[in-house]
Amino acid sequence: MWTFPSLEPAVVSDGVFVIDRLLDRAGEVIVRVGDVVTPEMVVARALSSDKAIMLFVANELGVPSNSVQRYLTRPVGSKFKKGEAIARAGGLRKITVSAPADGVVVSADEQNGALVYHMSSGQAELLALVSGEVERVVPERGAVIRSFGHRLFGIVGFGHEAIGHVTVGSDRGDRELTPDLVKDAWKGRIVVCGMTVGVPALNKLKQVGVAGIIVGSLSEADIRRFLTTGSSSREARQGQFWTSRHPEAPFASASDHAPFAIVATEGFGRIPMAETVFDFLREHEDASASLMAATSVGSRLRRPEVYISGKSAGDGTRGSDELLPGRPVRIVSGRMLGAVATCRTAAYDRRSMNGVATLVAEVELPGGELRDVPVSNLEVLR
Amino acid sequence: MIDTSRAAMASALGSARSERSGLVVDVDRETARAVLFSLVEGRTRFVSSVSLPSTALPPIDDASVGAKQAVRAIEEHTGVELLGADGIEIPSSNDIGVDVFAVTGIPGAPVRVSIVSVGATPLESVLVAAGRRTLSEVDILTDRVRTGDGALSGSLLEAAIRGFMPDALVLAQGAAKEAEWKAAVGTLSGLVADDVVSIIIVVAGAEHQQQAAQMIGESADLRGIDPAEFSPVDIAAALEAELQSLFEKGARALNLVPATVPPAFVSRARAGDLVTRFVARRLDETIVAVDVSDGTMFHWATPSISDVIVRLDVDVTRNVRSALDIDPARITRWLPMTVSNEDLSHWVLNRALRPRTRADAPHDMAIERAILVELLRTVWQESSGTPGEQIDLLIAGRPFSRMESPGLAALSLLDIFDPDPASGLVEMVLDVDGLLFAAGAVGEASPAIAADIVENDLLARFATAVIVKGGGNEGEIVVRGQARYAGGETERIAVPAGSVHLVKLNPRKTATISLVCEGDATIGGRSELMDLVVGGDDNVDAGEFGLLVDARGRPAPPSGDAATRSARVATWLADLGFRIS
Repeated sequence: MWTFPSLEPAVVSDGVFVIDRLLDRAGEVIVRVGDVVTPEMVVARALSSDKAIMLFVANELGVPSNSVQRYLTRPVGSKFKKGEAIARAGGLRKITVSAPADGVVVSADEQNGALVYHMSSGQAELLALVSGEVERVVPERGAVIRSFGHRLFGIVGFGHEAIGHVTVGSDRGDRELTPDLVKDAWKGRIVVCGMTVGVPALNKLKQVGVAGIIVGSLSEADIRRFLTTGSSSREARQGQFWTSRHPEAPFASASDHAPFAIVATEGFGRIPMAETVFDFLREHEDASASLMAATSVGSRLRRPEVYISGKSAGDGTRGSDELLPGRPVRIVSGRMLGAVATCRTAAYDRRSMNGVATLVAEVELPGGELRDVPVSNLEVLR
Repeated sequence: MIDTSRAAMASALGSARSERSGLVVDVDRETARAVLFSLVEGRTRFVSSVSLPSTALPPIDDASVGAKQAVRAIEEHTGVELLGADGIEIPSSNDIGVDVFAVTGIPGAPVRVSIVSVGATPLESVLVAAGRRTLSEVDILTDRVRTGDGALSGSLLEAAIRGFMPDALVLAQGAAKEAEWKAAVGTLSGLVADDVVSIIIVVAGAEHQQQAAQMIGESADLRGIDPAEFSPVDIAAALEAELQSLFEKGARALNLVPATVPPAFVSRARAGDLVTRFVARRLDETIVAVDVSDGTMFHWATPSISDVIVRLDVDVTRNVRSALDIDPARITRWLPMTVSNEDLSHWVLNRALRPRTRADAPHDMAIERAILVELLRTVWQESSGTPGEQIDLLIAGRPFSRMESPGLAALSLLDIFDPDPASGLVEMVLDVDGLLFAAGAVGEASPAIAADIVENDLLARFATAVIVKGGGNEGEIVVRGQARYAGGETERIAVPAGSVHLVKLNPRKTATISLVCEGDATIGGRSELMDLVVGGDDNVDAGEFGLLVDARGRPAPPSGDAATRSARVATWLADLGFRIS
């Protein structure tokens, strides 16, 4: 039984967690081994990184190489934001060359019809995100933090990281959060939204300024529309939006556009938040929580994580996700996706008519129905 | 086509045998499998295979863990001792170890290769096909890096390359303006400086190669090949060898299972080719093999040529999102029930989030099958040079071999390939134990063991289909006939147009089948199929499942409105024993 990216249940209370907090590029590490950190403390700071690239504007615009400066929207030396038009040409049909990132046009190379464009990534600060103690420092990258408290795994997330106090916005895990229920007081908070949220509610949550949301499930069309409408990338085609070929790419191409961190616990569709999960979040209402929404299913598997700081009540051993009688499990496949059941047996081999062995476990559904479910379709809840 | 000059199994059949047992470890990101062969009554036979979930990805993140577990599990299942103090004993001595040990699969990260043509060139399809004969993920950039006006855009090229992060990039010179070549090479020089690209293969004339070398500088591993000096076949072979060597460098670094003699790594592409080629020559037929696990792999062979198509970006688990690039109507047309586009998208995305889950309810099995059929059908039809409908024998690995309903597996194979061979008969094999790749992998070192395994263990048919073309209106009988058993017992057969009919035969009894077509229906271009003897030695093996008479016509996709289509698919599946509820 494997619950990626760990071998632990989806919900862990009073656990000990070792969390890597690392910059994506070289920087300065602020903390030292043994330092006690809180979620908002800066662990490391990335230095600004600059690099120059050539933009072959004349070829793209279809104009002579030596006339490239004539087509610039602003003169050499101007700053541009990512996606802004740097050069434009054409009569009835305009052709535009956009800035690939924030930067400055440094010079024009009229022999090659190109511009030298200086891209700057600026400084970036990395927060501890959790309370705990620095166990190890990774030079120039960050730190490994040992933290105590509670953790919930989501299954898909959008956006980055968020810190805030937990607010339960829906009275039940099987109810949709509608825009009229969204409150101004939720600004800066992490809101538990029940079964699902549609685009109007997402827009209202954005308007209010929540730090993040935790929801049972999402409609793919809704999240696609929410993340792409109004941005420079237009509403994306479905295949393009969900299919990134980079081995470490986020699950959705426009994930970075999320105005707040979004974590779904069950998946896509209209699936109620598992009662165990909803109850866990309700138990921690008003507690400080940290969300890591990043999700990747390529070569670097990542699943969203929610941490709630707490004191160490456990003995430091990791919780196991072994299937044992009596453990609450969630069915994570097909039509039964999201159904919560109780494990009745340990895993055993079941052979089909053509001799194929499948590792299954018997589970009891809430109505009392017993069913053999492949182990790969089960996830230990806690 | 694949080089056939290297040691072929067929030629080695008569070779003297010193090896008696073999072990193959076949690992990818989905599965770790160990397959054991041993001497049984004078011939090396398949003994046992164990498949476990792969540990190549987190949380374990080490493929060798799963590989070792699979080997230990084989020891436990069979009681055969394989591991000595220094790992697997090779050759076996004192009843410990095996004589031949080989590794296959995708034990390392696939090679990521981008192909960009600057202007149209017939070489592009050659380069793409070459890349897709290796364990590489091929990203074709040509059209995606052009603006709406058709000009090559440096910034689109840069974004596409950064979005894919290739291990190697092939830059091919086509019919384009000099400015475009300069823009492409200039953009690449920036990406090389930024360590995004390190290996660039320039397929261009000497002058353009020189220009690329000057602009890109020495920080890249730059290789060039001039199309004026080499034929497309040579260029393809060079690229194939280059990518193969890149993959093997990574794969060899992984010491999956310790052994007293390091195992040979035989790529699945090579292993599958050895076997399909051998079978095609042996049976004098056209063979197609398909396996979908961590990506998709097609092998096909006729007695004279063979080829492989590797699509590591297409499968129904980790890469199921490739289905979202297809018009959903093309997927739902294969479903026996109505499913909205939204529900289909959700199914795909939920599977992508949890790629190890299995379809275990009929509803989910039907959706998985529909996606599988359309994805594979698309890849097969888009690939050039394939034998098309002329397929005599289909060898199906995962997920077909894991399907709990043989009817679902048989119909899926017929729907993917639309086979219509000259004989009118298509035999089907389910490779439950992964013998196609295991036999090929062991065959590189011991062709005789491989030949034994293929002939005695791999080729057990599970079904045979009779393909009926043309005929009357739907519902009208197009084929009549009978199955007459040796004892005189007969069974009448009547198959209406637009249907698929299962003649359940006793595989242990010999039966003579006679089928006569009505109207303009034909089987293999003939109006009748007389005295087809099935069962018993030296006859057609109808398989455990039986003889299917496929009178749905060609091409197979169901037509009509959504409700009619789904009802029709439901009937076909039900006739083969798979019911949705």
